[in-house]
Amino acid sequence: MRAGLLLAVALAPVVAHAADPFLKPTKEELEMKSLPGYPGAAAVVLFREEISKDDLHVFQNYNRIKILTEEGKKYANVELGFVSSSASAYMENGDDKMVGDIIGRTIHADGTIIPFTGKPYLKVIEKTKGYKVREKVFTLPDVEVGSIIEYRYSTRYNDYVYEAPDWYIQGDLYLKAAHYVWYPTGHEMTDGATGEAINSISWLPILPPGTELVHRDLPGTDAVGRVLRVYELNIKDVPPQTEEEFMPPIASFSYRVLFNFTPYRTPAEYWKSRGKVWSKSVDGFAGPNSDLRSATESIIAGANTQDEKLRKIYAAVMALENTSYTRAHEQREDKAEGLGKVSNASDVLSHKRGDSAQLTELFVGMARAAGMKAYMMLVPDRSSELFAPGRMSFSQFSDLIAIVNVDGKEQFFAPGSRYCPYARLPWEDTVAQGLRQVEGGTDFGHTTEENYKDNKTVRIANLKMDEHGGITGKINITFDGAPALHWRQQALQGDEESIKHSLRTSLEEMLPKTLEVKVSEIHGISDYEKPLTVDYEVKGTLGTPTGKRLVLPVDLFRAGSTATFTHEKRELAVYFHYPQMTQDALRINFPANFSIEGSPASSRVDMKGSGLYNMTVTPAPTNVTVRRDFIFNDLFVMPKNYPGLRSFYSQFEAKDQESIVLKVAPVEASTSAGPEVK
Amino acid sequence: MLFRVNARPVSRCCLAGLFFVLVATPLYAASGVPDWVRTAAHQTLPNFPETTKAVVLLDETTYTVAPDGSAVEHLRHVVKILRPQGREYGYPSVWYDKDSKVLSMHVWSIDPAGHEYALKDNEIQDFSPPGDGGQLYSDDKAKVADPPGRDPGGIVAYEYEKRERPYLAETNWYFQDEIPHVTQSFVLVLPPGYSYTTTWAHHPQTDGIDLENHHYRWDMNNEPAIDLEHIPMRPASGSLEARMTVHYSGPGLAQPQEGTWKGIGEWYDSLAHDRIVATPDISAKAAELTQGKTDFYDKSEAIGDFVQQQIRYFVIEMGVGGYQPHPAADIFRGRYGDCKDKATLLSAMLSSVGIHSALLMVDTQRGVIDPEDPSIHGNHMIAAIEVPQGYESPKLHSVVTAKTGKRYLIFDPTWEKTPFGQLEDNLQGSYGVLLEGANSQVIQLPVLDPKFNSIRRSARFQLDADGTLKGTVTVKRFGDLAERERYLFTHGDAKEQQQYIDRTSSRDFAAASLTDLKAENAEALNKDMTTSYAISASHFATAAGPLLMVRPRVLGSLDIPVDHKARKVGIDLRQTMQASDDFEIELPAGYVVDELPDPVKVDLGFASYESSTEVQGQTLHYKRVYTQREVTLPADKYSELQKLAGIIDNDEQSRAVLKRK
Repeated sequence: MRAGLLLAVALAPVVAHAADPFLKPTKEELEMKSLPGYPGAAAVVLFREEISKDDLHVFQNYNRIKILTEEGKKYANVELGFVSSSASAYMENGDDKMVGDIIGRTIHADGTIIPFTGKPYLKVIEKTKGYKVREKVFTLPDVEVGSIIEYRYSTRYNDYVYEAPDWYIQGDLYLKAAHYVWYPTGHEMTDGATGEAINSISWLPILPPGTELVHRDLPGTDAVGRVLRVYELNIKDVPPQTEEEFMPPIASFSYRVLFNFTPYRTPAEYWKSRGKVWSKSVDGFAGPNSDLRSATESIIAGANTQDEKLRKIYAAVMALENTSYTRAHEQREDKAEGLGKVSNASDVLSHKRGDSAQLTELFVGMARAAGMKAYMMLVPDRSSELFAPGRMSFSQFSDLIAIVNVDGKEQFFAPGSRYCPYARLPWEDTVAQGLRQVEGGTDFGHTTEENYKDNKTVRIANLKMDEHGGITGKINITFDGAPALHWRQQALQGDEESIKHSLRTSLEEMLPKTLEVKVSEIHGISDYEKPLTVDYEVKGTLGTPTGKRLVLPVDLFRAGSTATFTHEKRELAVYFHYPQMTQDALRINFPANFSIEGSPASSRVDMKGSGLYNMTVTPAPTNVTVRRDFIFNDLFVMPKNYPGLRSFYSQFEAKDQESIVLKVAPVEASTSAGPEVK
Repeated sequence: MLFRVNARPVSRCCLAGLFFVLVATPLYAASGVPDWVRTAAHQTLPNFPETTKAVVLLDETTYTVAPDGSAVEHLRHVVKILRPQGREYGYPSVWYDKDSKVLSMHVWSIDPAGHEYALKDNEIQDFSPPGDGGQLYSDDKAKVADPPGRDPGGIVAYEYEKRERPYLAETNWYFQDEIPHVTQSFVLVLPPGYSYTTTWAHHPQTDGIDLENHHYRWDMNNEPAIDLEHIPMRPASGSLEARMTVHYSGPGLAQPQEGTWKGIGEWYDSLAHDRIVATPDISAKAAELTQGKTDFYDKSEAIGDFVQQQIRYFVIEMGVGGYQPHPAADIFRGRYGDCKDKATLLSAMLSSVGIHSALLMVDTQRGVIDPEDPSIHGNHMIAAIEVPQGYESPKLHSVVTAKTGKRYLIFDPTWEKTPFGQLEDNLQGSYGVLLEGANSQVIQLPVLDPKFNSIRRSARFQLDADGTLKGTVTVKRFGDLAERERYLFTHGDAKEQQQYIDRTSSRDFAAASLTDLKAENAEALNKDMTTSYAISASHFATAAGPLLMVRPRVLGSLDIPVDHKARKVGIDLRQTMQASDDFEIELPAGYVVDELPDPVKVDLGFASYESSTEVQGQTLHYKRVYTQREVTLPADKYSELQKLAGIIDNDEQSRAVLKRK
């Protein structure tokens, strides 16, 4: 009887599909030509259904898409990717996943139905001894603008595997309606990673207001008649995800429901328990063991204060090869060099290399060996992700940083970020929430904020113009904070030739094209505690001549710039990576046959509390000096404040494009250059 | 830009240059690096430019043809990494598909400190490129490895043998690429009774050494790199890199090759002839499309438009499917196919209304097909439509006359936004293989008149005394210069269209508002693609003391991306074109023009530029015309191009100087 019921449940969808696997198109769907509110939309998802049946080890999918433009035809090309894994310590039997049961059809606007009779192709994307990445590929026939395309498929996975579904609802198309159902298993399970008994299902719902995940109970079908809880979501009219320039890293916050099988009842319980496991693991690696204590003692010899000791430790760690910027070495390479397996932080020190996380662990281990309280913290890389505590996954974190109590005050460090200065963080790790070690466990924490003064670029140009408008001179650019770290880490990817090329082209893109640039010297590319300075030589011509005048751009460094905020409308907040300051100082010395006829008035543009721009032009008989300061101190500007932001940028970017007008007179005598601008 | 390429032909051809044949048991110890690797690694190297990332120390190929037509490639390859960026050359790979098999592959490396490594078989992985956004299914795959020691000073070596069944009795040897090659050889082994010939691309003909017993050897040592990194307007690397094609013939081969284009065409005819068949459905559709039309061009255009616009691009390639089209009936039924499928259906439909056409194999990178090197080295298929004898029409722009005296209208049904009668810019001036059976031949594709690829901007503005510019702008585009806009206004939504227009203004205006955006003829490829909008730009005119500075060239740029370096390789100008601007600016009351930019007029033969700024009453009138007549230039013309770029840039930045009355 029970077996019969199971069989009936198992066959129910098959029977239903055999009868009528597709929905009948409505008159409105057939006649639909556009999507109100979204002019020019390529296509619209009329209906999507995802049904997950654990005990049948299958995900069933159904998609109905109305094609509205030529661009929409691309949705008829379908790639269904899936990953299979071999048996491992994590998964005893492996998971030989397969996509199948593909059926589909195209319906023209006049109701003509063209069934998909082709063969889906199986393509192996990557195959290693541990896993296979494959995809099924097919295209639906005779697709026109106005067609409805629809297809069903199933993803089947191994009998010994249960996989909680992730419902990604919001995508690049408007979704008219969707239906999601999960029939979780009632079997007893253990977590593949920890071996803990699974006793809960958790979910992270990010849903529009008024939409709720519902659950209902079904009578149990197993030997003890356990009730099965079914999760279901019906949702309508979901807009596509917004894409804008300077948008915050919110891709992971689109509408979705992410489920987990979990031994924990709440996210707080999860983070507390898993945090302990993580903390124990990294502490186990960091130590310090006796070797590391001994090594630390010799490194900090002569230092008196905690700060002095930690600076020595930081410098020692920073001197090691960071393989995250070069190449990870295999165990056999270590062996060939007479090195053993890397089991702890002391091994990293003896190997003289490690990846970013290992170097951070080493730094913390040595700080502890030096008698300081030191902790580790996991943070997301906020260039691409923000941390959501409600989501029970460590995959949100990408960086490991250190916190050390120095002379009674906690400071943040990024020894795993090569060339990051002492007691600083790369901007990607600042102003971020993460998971940190505390005494006796873990807790959520926040990293530090930065000020515009922390990230500064100073550009100085001293140029000399000859009687014919020819220019020679020097440019000096000093980078401090995030810009310096950017260039130093870029240098790690290549060599002197490549970093010189990048620095040269970077300046060439700023300057008028008539100037030829050469990098003459780079100061302090690896001296990370000091600003990075680059000396350039430039030559060429400058300005555009008219009959009796020469018109010069007021700020050479902005000659190649374009308007930043061109769009009048804005839906999302504007997101800047870090607060920053740029100071320009330019002097152009010219001969006696030139004189200044006109120059821009000094200007100050203030975006209260957020940004400040100041430019002064100081004319003299044989030279002109331009000083420009730009400060922006905010990370986020909300949409309601976008007009003000756009106005601020427009005003100063227009000012940057103004001109200095030199009057040309017959050449009478040569003129010596004025003093250098500082 | 829409880019349609059939990956299979190019990848197969490129891969062929890497594949070699094993004729003897490999000489290496089970766990050690073979002597031939050590010997190559320890040789004294010449000096290379500081930009050299890596160097091929040894590349030995043996290609053995069996009496049954199958072939085995054996390759030994040793590379030394010189710079951190050279690590990318330390990933051994061998490509194969369902019709070929990798019989063995071994990988070794030596790190900079001299430690030696040998990879185990299970460390070699299978990889297949993803499907190009759902547009491509191909059975191409590769065995790849990631050996240790891939650091500057490190050595990576590999050896493999692969069995294949060549579709054509030819193989390619690619002995030059972006890094130098020190020592390299190619050995051809043929069965008794076979003969061979070689043809060469971008390299003088070089005779092989007869090693006896049907073994022939070529050596090509100290080949310099073709390093095009950081070179603006660079030609395709494949148009410069040398290669050799071996053609062979012998008893039992169905399609022996003697190194002629005719042989290539006859081979392809055997693949495609039966696929270019008009079924009743196809004929009926062709008749429907041409109903009431009697003119050759009109009938061809109707069918060409149908295949170009209604047959969706989707690639399915397995084995010989990289070259052989699907049957026209299947393509028509599913309404999708790749380039050769679209050309095949076009040919079938045209034939049903009495118009003859042939397939034309080309390469999407100009200059890759070398007329001196008959080969299947191409990555794209288009159509050559025979023009009836005596037929003339001003609409026929892309016409070629073959050696047979027949004229062909060249058309690419895959390039969705190029008007019928024209040819996309990247094919112009290139060579293609006209696949006409016994009359097959290589033909040079035409370079079109600049006026068929044009952009014309016109605008009327009012300038306020506070520097604000207001007015309306109309932009008319035709030919490939209209491609991006046609795509935007047929495929993009309203938000994308507005954002695109906003972005294009960012270079010319610091603070502009663009409204009332309209587009016409986005789908009508034979008409001007026209966009118009209203603009209001504050701070356009700027004060400099008592002066008001106005840029007569209000918007639009003709940027020629030259650098300041000396040039050693040819220049790819990309396209012939004509651009013209006509702007009127009504100046604010109370101001008078004190000075105008000088007029410009320059003609360098390959291009000309003319501009003028005049004032009539209170109206400033700026006009300019730029004409580009060539698609490529030799390197020695670079200084002239630099000069032209400077003249145009200077003109674009020039200011009119206004003073208060």
